[in-house]
Amino acid sequence: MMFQVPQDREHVVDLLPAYSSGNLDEASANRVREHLLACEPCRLELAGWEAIRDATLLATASAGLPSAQILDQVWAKIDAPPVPQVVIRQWSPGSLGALFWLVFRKQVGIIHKSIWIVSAMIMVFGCILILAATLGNQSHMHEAQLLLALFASVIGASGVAFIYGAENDAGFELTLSTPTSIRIVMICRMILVVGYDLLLSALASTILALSYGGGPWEIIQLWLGPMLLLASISLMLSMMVGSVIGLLFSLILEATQALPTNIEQGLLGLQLARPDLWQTNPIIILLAVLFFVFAILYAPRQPRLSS
Amino acid sequence: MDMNMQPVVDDRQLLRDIAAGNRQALAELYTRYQRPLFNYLLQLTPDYWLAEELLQDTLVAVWKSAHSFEERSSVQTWLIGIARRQAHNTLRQRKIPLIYESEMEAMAAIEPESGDFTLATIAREELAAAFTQLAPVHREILALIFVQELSYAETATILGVPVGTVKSRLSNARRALRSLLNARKELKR
Repeated sequence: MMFQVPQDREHVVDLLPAYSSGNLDEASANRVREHLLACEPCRLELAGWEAIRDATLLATASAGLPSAQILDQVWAKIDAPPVPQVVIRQWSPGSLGALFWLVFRKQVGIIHKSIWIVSAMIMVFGCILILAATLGNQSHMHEAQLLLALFASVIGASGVAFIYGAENDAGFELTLSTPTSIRIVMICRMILVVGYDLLLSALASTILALSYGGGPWEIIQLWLGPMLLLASISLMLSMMVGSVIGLLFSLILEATQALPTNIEQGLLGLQLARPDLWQTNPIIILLAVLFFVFAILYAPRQPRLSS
Repeated sequence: MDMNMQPVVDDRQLLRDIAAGNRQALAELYTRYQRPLFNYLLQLTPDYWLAEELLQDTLVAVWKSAHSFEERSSVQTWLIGIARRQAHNTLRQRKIPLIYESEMEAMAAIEPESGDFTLATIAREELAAAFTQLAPVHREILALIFVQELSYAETATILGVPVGTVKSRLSNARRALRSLLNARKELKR
């Protein structure tokens, strides 16, 4: 016959394994000891646990020690270079370049089509206007160049004003929620739009140079610096306060520089000009870079999701 | 400086030294705990080489996560907890089902209460032989209590179960042992 220890609170069955391994706190151990004095079933139960304890120790004693080289192998594992998975793939220049290229390519489709079309139209319209008004008259060559510089700066400022924000990017919320930093996205878009405007303006400058003679660089240096500066100011303001304000401010800035007013004989007159300071020079380029960097650093902190 | 001149460094200090990148401290900790850790791992897998590999992985994990030891549990409990996690992860990755034989399945093979014998009268060798046939879940709980000499609370922490489950699992392990012994007896007849 086997004993069944009654499972009530008086008995200490639960505590017997811990008691037999000497792992009971003093109070519980005393309680068990006292109880055992008077309880035959519990004493038998304890004897069973002691037998199990001895058998467990006996069965596991033969386990022995692990081999002596364990630590050497541990050091080898610790010193092994990290598994060439994600980490290296993320940081190798090649894969970073590939990632950048992928983001870059995808922006072509995301940037609003009207930016491409409007810029091209302004430039074509400008070219036709300039050529129609001045061609055949060498004395107007300088005015033609100044006019082209004006158009170039304007398209530079206008395109960039519309590449950021929920009202210009239907997937803006999505853009912000992907692991790709909004900074990289904005750098890609800026390069794309400004690059496109540069190409258009360089093409127009070449046409003008061919029409009047002379090199295109002479014309390009009239607008390159101001175009980059206006583009970066436009980007920065469009991100901070909105596209329209960014565009307006840039246009006003261009106007104050390139269209100084003069009052002649009581009449307000506009004249074309391009002071040396408002051409391609180190100060203008430096300012352009500064505004651009500021805009890019500003980007992640100002996601304008609600309009 | 001669190491023998140093006072004995306590386990917690060893872990702090390991966290600071002291390899000698990991070697010392290993010397202290290699036997109980290896013994425990062998209850989870009978494969000696796999147990050695798990022991290595445990030490690597200790090296990497020593800084996260919060000194709320004993060093031994913490170490066995890490060894258990390593074993579970590796066995799961290699689709070795042994350790995942659940307690319910283990209990299904046990008759309710069997045999008209008392455990204390059984030869220890026979009892030990029966122990090796236990399901891992039962070998593990017996090893934690009797070999590692952990309290119920510490065991519960390592297994991630309530203390009540530790108690019931112990009693189930005992019943499983009885059942195994009974089966062996009937086989002899």
